Amino acid sequence: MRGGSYVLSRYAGICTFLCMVTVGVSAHVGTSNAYYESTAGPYGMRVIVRTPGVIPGLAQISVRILHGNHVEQVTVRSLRADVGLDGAPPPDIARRVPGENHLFSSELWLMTSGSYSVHVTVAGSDGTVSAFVPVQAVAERRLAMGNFVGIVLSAIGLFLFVGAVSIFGAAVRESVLEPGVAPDMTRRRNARITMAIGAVFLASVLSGGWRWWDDVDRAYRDSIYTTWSTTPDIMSTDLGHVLRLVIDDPDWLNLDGEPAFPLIPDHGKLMHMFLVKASDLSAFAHVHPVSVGNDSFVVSLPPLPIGEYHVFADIVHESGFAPTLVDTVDVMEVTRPRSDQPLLPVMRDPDDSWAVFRSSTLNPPDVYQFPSGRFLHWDRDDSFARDEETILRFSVMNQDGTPSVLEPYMGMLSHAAVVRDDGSFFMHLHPSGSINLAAQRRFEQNRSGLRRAHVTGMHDANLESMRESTNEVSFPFVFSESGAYRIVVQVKTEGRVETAAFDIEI
Amino acid sequence: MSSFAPALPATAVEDTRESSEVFGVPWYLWVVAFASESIIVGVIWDISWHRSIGRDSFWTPAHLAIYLGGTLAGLSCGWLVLQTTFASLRRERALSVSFWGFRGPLGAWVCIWGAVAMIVSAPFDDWWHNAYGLDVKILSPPHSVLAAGIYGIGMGTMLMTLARQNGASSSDRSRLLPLLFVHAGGLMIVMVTTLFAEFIMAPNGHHSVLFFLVTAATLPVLLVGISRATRERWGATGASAVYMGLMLTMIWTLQLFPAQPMLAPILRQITHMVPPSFPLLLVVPALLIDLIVNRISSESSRVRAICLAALAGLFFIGGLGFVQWPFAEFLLSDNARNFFFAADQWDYNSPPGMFQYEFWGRQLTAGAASWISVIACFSAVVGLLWGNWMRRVRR
Repeated sequence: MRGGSYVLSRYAGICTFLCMVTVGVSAHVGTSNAYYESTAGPYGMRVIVRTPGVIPGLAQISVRILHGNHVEQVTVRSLRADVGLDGAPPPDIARRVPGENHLFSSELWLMTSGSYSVHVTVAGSDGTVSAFVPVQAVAERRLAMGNFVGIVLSAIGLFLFVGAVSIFGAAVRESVLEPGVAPDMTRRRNARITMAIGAVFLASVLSGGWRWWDDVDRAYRDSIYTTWSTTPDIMSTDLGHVLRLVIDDPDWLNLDGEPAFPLIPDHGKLMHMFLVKASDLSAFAHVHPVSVGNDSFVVSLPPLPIGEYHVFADIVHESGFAPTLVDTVDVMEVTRPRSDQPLLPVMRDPDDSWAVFRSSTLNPPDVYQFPSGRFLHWDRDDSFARDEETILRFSVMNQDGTPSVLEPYMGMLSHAAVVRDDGSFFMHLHPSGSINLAAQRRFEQNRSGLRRAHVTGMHDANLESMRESTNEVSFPFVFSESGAYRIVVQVKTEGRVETAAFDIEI
Repeated sequence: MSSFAPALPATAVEDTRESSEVFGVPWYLWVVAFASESIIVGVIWDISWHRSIGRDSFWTPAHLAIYLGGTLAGLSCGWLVLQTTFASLRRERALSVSFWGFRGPLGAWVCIWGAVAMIVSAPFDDWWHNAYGLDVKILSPPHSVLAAGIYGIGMGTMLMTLARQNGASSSDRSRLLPLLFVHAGGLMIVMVTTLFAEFIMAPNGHHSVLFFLVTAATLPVLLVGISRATRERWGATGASAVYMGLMLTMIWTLQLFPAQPMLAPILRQITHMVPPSFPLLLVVPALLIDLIVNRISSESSRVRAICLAALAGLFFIGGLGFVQWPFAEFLLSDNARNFFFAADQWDYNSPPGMFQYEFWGRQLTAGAASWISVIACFSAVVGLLWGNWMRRVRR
């Protein structure tokens, strides 16, 4: 055991009580929580999956019923991508949260790292609705030992250590004596010697335990999820500047030189890349690099102000695992392409978009005016708090104050990105949440054996919303950590993609 | 610590009260024997639970059995210490050792230590799960603390039984005491084989170097120690029979209970609790050990005793290999895939494959067998020294 003073000395001062150490990143950056909302079918639902951060660990599931009559039962079950529902345990019945008629909660174990899905079923008098909520099960953090736990375990460890040494002494001093006979001086001396030897022996055992714990800890830290390593660079070509992102992770390619984990398109693109100016988040681009070779992606660089940019690139593996590649790039660094790597002319993707934001202090905090003159209103009727279910609601208005009808942008009513000011958090959102459409479709295709009454998906929800003319859009979200965030919202009206930014301190 | 011990003139206390007995055996020996049994049954049950159902909580019957045993052992021995220290029970006081100002049998102190270690392992394990995730394996640092506590209670039970047996006159000695000691020794064997189950229990590994290495290091010390400590002729054989009997009982019982996996991914359909593997055929090497250790007498020279113990270690490895090698082949055959032998039963999250019917690991060679034999001899000699001391324990 490595209790006792070892633990205390090692962890004292690191944190006050059960401090979480966030080390890695996940499908998004800074969290692997998943948010999903669907209004299609007889029951609308908003699902929030709070991942455990350790694997195996317990994920917290909350299901809020948005509309529909008399919900009889809400069930949840976890399934891993490779075995689907055939290898899933029986569903768990989610409990109704006391005081909340429409909110249900449950817990589910995520046992191995990889691509999982939470299958949610809502049954009631109006029928049955079910949905898959893709979840990335990855180890993201290690819990540091708090002072209180350290002190308690140290005290008991010391007690056990001294107790064991005392037992050694008692064994030598008296255990073999005839009943009632008092130990003589020789036995007392031998007992003291034995206790000294025993103390050394136990200390060496504890030392071995310490090293064992260190090995386990090191192995665990090595297993904490980090996304594929990349190298970005910007090259000058006859057609302008091109951003190239090379995935140079040694595990990316298999022995045949092909991607070990092939990608599938999401919204028709293999990669969604977001560039955010690192210094003040004042410039933003949402572009779609194309694949060149097996390990490189290139994209025509939009006209952005010079400076360092955070690079967040969403990709989806065939398993449904959807990592975000993370890097930084300096747009001042322009290099000529190497002669051995001829660069194909890169056409700009018609869905690429970018914006340079004016200082938010020039605008009311809940209104952003686009260059076209239209406005995006943030309906901040919620009191935002850390780790609480939140709805980010926006509406687009024309200059004359009339609603401006939204058009689909890459199959979505809107896109949003939430970025923390230091770049440690990034999440790409849709009105249906943070889940990846391609991953959800993958789970639906592999759902063998399920008799479904009705299955909703992100695409279903969006299509239903888009069938109706609306100028309003909302995103389910949870601010899981405190900090200063910028929310970037992209909408399309009258064939033009426009991008707005809002700031919030949690 | 001894300076705090109360003075102990044997006849100073004329209190004639004694601790109550059942069938000539003090109550606390029955309690700690039951506690040890409860713990080990709980441990085997818990492992089966994780292999069959997967999902658990602190309040599963298996966990309750484990902690009931720990609590019972700790409380009963604590009460015995208080009685011995303050109520001045005549016999118990004469058969006690001093410890931090209190008095009690040595085995009671070991049991109390074990109970504290078991209890402290629970919050340690809980913190571990939060920090590193649920450890789905037997050997982990917090589980080692739990195992140390369980060993403490097992060892304490053996010492208390021996003290009662060795400290009593032959006319005053219950016939049940040697049986209780053999029972406690058998449970210790179960504890050791369970702790190292990942290395030694699957018959697929019974031709491997690792299997013989782990068994050579851990079992001769136990078997020789038990054989030497008991005053019966067949102590090691009896303890091995207890080990095999308990394991077989668990195998045949667990299979009767339906079970359904509750964690994804489920790679194999399970309909009943997955039992442990068929026990090692330890009675054969244990019988050889008893035959050799019985040749050590109080008149034997130290050199002769050590040589005989080393020989016992050698015979252990030879005997185990002689019976386990072909028996492992049988357990991997079609003939063992039935209720009795319970072969070919795998965890719900173990993907089916041909590995089920193959031998694993680096196969034993003559060279490996020779140095493993040396380890077995060393283990047996340590067992001799341990057994010699236990043979003399009176308190």
